[in-house]
Amino acid sequence: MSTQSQPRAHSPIEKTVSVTGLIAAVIILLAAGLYSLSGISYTQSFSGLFALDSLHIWWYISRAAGLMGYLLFWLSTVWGFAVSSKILDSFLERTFTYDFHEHLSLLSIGFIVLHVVVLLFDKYEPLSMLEILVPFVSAYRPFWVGIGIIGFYLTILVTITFYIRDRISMQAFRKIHYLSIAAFVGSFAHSLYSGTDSTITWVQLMYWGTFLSTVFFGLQWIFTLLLRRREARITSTGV
Amino acid sequence: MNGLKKLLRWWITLSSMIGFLVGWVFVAQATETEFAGGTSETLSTNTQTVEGLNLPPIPSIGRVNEVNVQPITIAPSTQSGSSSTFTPPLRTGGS
Repeated sequence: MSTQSQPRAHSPIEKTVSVTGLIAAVIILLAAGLYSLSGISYTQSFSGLFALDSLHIWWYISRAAGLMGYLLFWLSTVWGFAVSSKILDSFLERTFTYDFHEHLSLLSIGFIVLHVVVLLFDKYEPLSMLEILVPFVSAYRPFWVGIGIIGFYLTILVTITFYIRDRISMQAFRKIHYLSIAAFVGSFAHSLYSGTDSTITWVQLMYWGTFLSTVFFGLQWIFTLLLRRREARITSTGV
Repeated sequence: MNGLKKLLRWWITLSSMIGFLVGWVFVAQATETEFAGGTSETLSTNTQTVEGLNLPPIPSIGRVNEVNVQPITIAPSTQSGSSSTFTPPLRTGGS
């Protein structure tokens, strides 16, 4: 009988709670820091920097969380293509890259949840629970907001498959995972056409840069896939 | 390897937190400046520039006599009726 115990695998709920908890902890720490600084002149500049006294404070938090969620989702998508194309296999272990891909997805979902939930409290452009959950009913740019909601649901669906991988076939896992491409395109369109920051030059550059890099890695992944199939066919036929 | 995994997780989490805070500052500063300048989407919808209206410069008091300025004469009103029937001969030509 072995005396060494296997390291306990964390459940998806535990992982989600730890990621969300980490986000909450940092925000609480930040708030506590600000509170402890009250009365000191730094608070004034801090307040001005984050526009804490502004009417639009929730709007800013939502937008920053949306931007961060989008960036993490982009990184996860590109990383996913790289993992699938086995680009990173020569210098990084596969389980390691896979774990990173999964963690990026979870972080992205955490920030998107923050982006959505904060909008409920916003006084500048308030959205109801219905507008947040049901696509195409929002008063604010309904089509593009709806596309974003669908993209988010697809992301959740794809992320869930990380944890039911053993219960579904590899083919089903891959097919569901293909939906993440649609989810990324949806989130890109949502960000570009419903984001109020899209008029800012550096934000536009960021959106198009991330989109084009995803197209590049996507094409690279398709070519690798086609090449692998061709090689398999040649091996099987012996021609 | 497990330690490196954890380290990488912490690193990406912390980086994204910092990224979020930096994004917050950028967004707040960019928008607050817009609001202060009155160029935001909300404000700009209420502000329209009227083009095509060129007025001649107002002559200084000393040069009034040099410029061909028609004196304004007010004719005494011949109407004695109520003002409600009065129609001004001015037209705005729409908005």
